Amino acid sequence: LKQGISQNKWAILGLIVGVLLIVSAGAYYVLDYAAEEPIEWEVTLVGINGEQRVLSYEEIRGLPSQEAHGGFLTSAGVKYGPYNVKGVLLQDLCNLVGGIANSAGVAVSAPDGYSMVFSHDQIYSTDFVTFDPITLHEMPHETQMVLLTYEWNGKAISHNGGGPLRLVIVSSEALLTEGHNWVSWVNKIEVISLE
Amino acid sequence: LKKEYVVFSVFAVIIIISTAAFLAYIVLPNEKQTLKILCAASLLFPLGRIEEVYEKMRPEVNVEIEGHGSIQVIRQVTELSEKADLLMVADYSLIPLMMYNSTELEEGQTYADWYIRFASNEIVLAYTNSSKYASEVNATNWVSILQRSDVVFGFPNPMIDALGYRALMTMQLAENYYRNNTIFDNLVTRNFKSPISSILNEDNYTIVVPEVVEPKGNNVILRASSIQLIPLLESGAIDYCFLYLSNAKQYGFRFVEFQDEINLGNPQFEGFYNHVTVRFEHQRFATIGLDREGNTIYYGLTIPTNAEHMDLAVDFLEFLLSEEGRGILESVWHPIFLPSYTDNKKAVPSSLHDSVEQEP
Repeated sequence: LKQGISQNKWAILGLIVGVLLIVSAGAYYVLDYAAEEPIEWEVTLVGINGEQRVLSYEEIRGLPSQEAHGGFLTSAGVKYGPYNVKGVLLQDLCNLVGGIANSAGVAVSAPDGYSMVFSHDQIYSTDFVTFDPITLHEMPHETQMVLLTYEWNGKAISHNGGGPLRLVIVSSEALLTEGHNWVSWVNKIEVISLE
Repeated sequence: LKKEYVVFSVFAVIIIISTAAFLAYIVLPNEKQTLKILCAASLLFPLGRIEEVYEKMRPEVNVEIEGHGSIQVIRQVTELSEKADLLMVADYSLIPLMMYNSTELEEGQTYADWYIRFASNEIVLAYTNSSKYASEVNATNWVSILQRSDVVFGFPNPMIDALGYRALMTMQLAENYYRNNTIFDNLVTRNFKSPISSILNEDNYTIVVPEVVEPKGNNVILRASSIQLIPLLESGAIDYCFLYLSNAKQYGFRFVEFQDEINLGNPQFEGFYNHVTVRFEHQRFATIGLDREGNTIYYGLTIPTNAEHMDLAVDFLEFLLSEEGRGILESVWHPIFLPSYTDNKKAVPSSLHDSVEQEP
C-alpha cells in the first residue's frame, strides 16, 4: 500500500512539472512569435525640391547599415543606455531625395507632433556634446553619426523605446548625447532650406 | 523509501512556495502606493527635500519624481499617454494652454480645468570664485564683462528649456533698461552661426530664434538645460551662467542680481516684460505655438483628471502648501506664495481651499 501511495505522489509531482513545462514553452512560443510579427511603419522622405519617397520599415532595413554605440541624457539629467545600435545614416536617406545642400537642414518629425531640425554641418561634421555614461560629465568624442536606427542591442526597438524607428547620435564609443535629438517614432524626414 | 519521501517533500515544498509567492505577487496589492510627480527640472532640488520628509510621514507612499522641460512635463500626459498624479511646471500658463482644450479623454472631459500658481523665481547671473573677473562683476558692469574676449558664459537652449528663452528676454530687457542698443547683438546675435536676432517694432522687441541654434566661437556655451550647465560652472569650464535665483542659491553659486526691470521676477514690472517676445522659426511641438511672451515667472501645478492616485496627490499638496511644507521650500530658497492663486477655485480639491485664493 505504501509503495502505491508513493507511486501516486510521484505521478502527481510529474504531472505538475509537466504542466509547468508546457505552460512555459507555450508562453515562450507566444512571446517569441509576437516579437517576430512584421512591423508596419513607413517613413516619408521629402527633398528640398518637393521630391517624395515613402519607405517601409523593411525597406529601411534593407538599406546599407551602420552599427555604433551610444545613449542619451535627458534635460533633467536622467541617462538611458548606452546601447549597441544599428541603422541607416541620415544623409544616406536624404540622398534618396536629392541630398542636403550646404545651406540646407533636415527636419525629422514624428506623429506625436515632435520635430527637430539638424543643419548640414551637424549631420556631416557631427560635433554634438557627449557625456561619460558613468560620471555624466562632459568628455571629448570621436567621429559621430546621425543614424535612423531600427535595432538596439540586437532587437527591434520597442514602442516605449521610441521605435520602430528612432533617430540617434552615436559613435564607436559608448557615450551619451543630449536626449532632445533622439527623435522617437520617426515617420517623416524633410530637407528644408535654412536660408 | 525514506529517501524518496524526503526528495518528494523538498520538490513539493519548492513548488508550493513558488506558486504561493507568484499568486501573492499577482493577486495581493503592493504595500506601498506610488505617487508619480512630473516636474520642471528647476524643481527637482526642492521637491527632493519635500519627498524625504513626506515619505517619513507617509511610509506607505513611495513618491516618484521625474524631471523634464515644462512643455515635456505636460506632453507626457496629454500626448504620450503617460499617467501622472501631479504636474508642476515653471510656466503656469502652459497648463491652460495645453490641458484645458484637450479632447483625447472621454467626451467633455479635459486633462485639467484648474491650476495653482504657487511660486515665482527670477533670473540671475551665476558665477564662482574661479570665474574670470569674479572680484569685480556686479549689477552695473556684468554686460561689459560678458563681452570680454576671454570670458565664457552659458545659458540653456531656448528651444529646449524655458530658462533659455527667458535668458534671451533678460538680455533684451537689459538693452532697454540701460538704453544701449548694442547689448543683445554683442551678447547673443554675433555669437551664433545662424543669428538669433532681435527686431524692434514700435516699442516691442521680437527675438527670432532660427531652426538650428548653434553657437559660433568660444564665448557662448549652449546646453539643453541648466542641469547640464551647472557642472560646467562648477568645474570652471564656463565663467558665468544665466540661472534661476533658487538654483543659484541651492548649488551655492555667487550671483549677480539684476534690476527688477530685467529679472522677470517682479509682477510690478509686468508691463516692462511684456515688451519682449521670443519667436521660434521651428515648431518643435505641434501643439504649442511659436511665440513665448515676456511675463513674470510663475510656477504652476495641477492634478490631471486621469490621475490614478488623486487622493494621494491631494494629500501631498496639502503637505506642500502647509506651514511645514512651505518652511521646507523656503529653507531651500524656493518660497511658496501664501496664499497661492488659482483660476478656478471651485474645481480645486476642497481640502486645499484654505491655501488658495481665486485670481481676480
